[in-house]
Amino acid sequence: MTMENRQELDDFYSLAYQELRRLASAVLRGDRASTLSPTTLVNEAWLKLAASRRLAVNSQLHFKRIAARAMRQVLVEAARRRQAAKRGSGLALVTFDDDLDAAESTPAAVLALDGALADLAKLHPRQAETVECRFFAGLNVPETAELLGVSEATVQRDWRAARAWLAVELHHAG
Amino acid sequence: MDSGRWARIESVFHEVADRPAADRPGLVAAACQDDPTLIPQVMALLEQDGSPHRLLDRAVGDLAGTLLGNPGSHRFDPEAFRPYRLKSPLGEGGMGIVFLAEREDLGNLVAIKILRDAWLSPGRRQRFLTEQKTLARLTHPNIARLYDADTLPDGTPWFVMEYVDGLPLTEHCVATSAPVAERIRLFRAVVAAVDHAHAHGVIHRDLKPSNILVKSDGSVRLLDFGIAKAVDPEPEGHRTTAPLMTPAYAAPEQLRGEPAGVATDVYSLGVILYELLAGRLPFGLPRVGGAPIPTGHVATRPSVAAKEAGPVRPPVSTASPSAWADLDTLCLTAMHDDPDRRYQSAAALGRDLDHFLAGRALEARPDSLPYQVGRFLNRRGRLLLAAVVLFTLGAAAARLIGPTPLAAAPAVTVMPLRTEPLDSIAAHLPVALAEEITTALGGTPGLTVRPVAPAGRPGAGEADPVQVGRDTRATSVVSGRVRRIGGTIRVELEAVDVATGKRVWADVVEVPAGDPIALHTALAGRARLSLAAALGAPAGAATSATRPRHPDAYDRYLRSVGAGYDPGASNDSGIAMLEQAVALDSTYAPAWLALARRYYMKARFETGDSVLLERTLTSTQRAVALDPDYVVAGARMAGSLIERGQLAAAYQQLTQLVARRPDSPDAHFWLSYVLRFAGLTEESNRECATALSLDPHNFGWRSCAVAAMARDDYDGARGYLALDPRSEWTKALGLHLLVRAGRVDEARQLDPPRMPQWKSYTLLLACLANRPQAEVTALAAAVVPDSDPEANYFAAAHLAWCGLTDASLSLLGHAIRGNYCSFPVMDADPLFARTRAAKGYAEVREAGRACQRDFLAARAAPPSADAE
Repeated sequence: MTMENRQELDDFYSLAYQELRRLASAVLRGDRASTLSPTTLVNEAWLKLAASRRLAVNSQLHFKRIAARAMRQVLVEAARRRQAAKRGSGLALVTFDDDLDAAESTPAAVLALDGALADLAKLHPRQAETVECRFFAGLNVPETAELLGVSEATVQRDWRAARAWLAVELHHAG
Repeated sequence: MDSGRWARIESVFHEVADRPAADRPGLVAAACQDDPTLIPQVMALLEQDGSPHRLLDRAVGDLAGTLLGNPGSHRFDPEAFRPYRLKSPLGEGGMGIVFLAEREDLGNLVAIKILRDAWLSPGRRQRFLTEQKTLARLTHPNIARLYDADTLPDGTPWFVMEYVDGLPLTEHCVATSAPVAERIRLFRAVVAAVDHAHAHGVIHRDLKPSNILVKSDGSVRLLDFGIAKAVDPEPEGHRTTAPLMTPAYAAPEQLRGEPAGVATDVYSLGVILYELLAGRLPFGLPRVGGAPIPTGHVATRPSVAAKEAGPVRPPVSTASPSAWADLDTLCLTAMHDDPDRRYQSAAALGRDLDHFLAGRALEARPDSLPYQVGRFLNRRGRLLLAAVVLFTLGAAAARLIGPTPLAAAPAVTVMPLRTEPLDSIAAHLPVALAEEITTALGGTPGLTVRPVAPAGRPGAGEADPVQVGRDTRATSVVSGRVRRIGGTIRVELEAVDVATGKRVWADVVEVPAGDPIALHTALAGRARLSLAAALGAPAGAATSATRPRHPDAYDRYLRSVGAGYDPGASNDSGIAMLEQAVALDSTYAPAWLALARRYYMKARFETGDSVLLERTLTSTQRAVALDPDYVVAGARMAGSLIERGQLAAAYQQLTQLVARRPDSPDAHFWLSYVLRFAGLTEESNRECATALSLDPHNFGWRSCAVAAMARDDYDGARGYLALDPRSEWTKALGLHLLVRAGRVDEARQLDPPRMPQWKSYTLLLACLANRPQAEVTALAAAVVPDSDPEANYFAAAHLAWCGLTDASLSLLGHAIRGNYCSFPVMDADPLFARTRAAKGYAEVREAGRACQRDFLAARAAPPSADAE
């Protein structure tokens, strides 16, 4: 794709990414009362973007696919940062939070999953997309089916096989 | 494992997965008879299928909560803040965490504010640094002072400020049962602080009692310049502030999304004064989840509100009726919904407070108060609803594009038409007809037609045309309404001049509902003639546009245009409709172009199918053959040809288009694009300059910065980038520009662009930061060839600058094989300085030279020589 043809897509992506980062961080800052689900996030981001007249490639489904990708990128980038921070510092750390167990192992696991998912994409691209939608974007089965243009039964089948495959890979990885 | 093997394993897995566990080993063995090596893999899958997984079964919200951090879960190296030592968290705002800290050597207490998750968004980092910069400018006894600032090793910024141990203004007044005079005195100190900030060019923008603390000694401190901005016109970026402020204290014009200024701070001060006097907010807004909701309470003068609130909270009895009349005037003048009728400065408000405290007459004169309050409320009620909507949806996305001066040359935006609920016969018309008007106007010489999103925009017809015009930098906007009345379709259209807001043209078309051709004839005719003239098109109508001849074909075309471009089923049905349309009537050019667009979408976003790309080109060629003046089709055809590497064919196509439509900036721009691919920098820049002079406000010209840079014209390049100041693309090229211009210190300050496929920019920044070789090598490995050959040239340049010569030459080779000739640009590009000394350079250079030579030879030859 040449740049001029991709320009719209790039703008689209960067806006989606930016919005989702903001939204994700707002929800996850601990504001549980907001009861925002990932689907709500994506829909809100879509409404904002749809109102922006810059976007010519503006279909909601298309956007949602991009949003799922953006969610994955946000989380993987966050994991990478956490991991790097952990490696980079051998010092005793002062903390004001004792709920750190989860934070210890999760980043490495997420990075391993991201890598395994890249491998799965080579074996079965649609299954990898299904994982992206279900796991990283938090979409449910009907939403994922609509997004990928397949039946719900296919989503369930793909998810089940992909989940098992990824679990095996992650198990091997560590 | 390959995909075939995975398919087999998966199939056995599904076959067996729901059978009783005891039967599975036997079933698997039976199913894998021909290849027993599959058995352990299937069994491993089955084992995982039945067990919970600690990562894969987590909800994304929970996962993100862990990764992105909960309040207070940040760990900081205690040495990092020396000579300060963190003691305890004081609080957390939208941006940062504030800790109480002690200065080890002196023992005094300070507050340290640290930006949370600094990497998350450059915008937040910028706002944080702005606050710091702002505080540094201000020295006032009533403003918390900035002492120190630094950055953690990971780049997280933090600053040290005065620790204020106190209560929020309103709480303090309640806790101490402060009499009115004391409240006014405290408020006077706040006004003095705000006036000081204004005098130093700072607008606070988020004045509210929780940002104003009263210390136990009775002194006042104004805090939190987190969303403050400079009054002077520093470029502000696309950051929207509407959702950041606190609506209850925001001025009406601020809620409308207009820029904040002195007057908006004065308004907020008025609300605070009201709250201090009346014991509640002026409009009875309970705060739910941080956002106010209208409750239908009736706002009253502060004096009346204070009485209603009863004797407990505001000390009504301490003020006389005449004092209350003055306080009402003070408050309502500060809070006037018309900014021109407010106090014109914090200083003016302060003077009247002084007059009040000294028992003198006020400078402000009351409006007719009942009138003012009533009027105020009506407008305010609506505005508050708007504020709630803003909070729900986030920033008004229209403001992604800031207000800008308008072009003098006529440019028009056609909005999707408004509609009332339409039956299925006409539901596609609002979008389809707007597209038709756009197409018809597009054939008008000397008139620029701005692209508008074709479909799928909820509530598109509700937007304000003048605002749409500003956003799209148009001089006029066409909007209208389509209705079905019995057996008739009625279309009402009007054009509004963006500068004056006045209607410059209006017309009504009525045709029988079953006659789409008549609809086209009427609309296109009016658009080309009376509308184009009213919009300021210099002369004449388009000549050779095609028109639909077959009602069913045209109906299908209109339906496909109204259907949007969703990948999958809706695009497929759009393709089917258009294929039928062109089969029935092969002479209507827009139908061919619409079909080409849909083929392209499918090829690019769904299947990656080269047959579809082929059809994209042939459909576009049909459109161009039918209407050689059809600029959109001509440009698209050139784009397809460039994408296929047929540079000379694209060049010929575009020179013909330019000859036919010399007034079309798009034609010139696309010509510059193909010339850039051919490495003909001077010619490319000339076409860019022409495009820019014909349409000085089209963000599409941004990539002309590449051509400008190629001749070391950095000012010119910045000018092109400024056409699209907020995009990630511009950010990336801005970084490239600084490095190319040798301004590496400035480049180092930048954040990487967020487009994930642009890995080479991350690499470039790592090299700029002198990161360890291992890290650079790892980042370089992630730089892989892109489908855009020009992107490969840039990536090659970044690798070259980092000294990764082999990788650089390899990507440069990719660029050239994609017909981005790169010659002779590579010989002069400073980023390639080291690579030019390398052994393989001559060979790659020769390939680039051949690429350009082939182009020059082909364009010199007669057109047929370049046929496929």
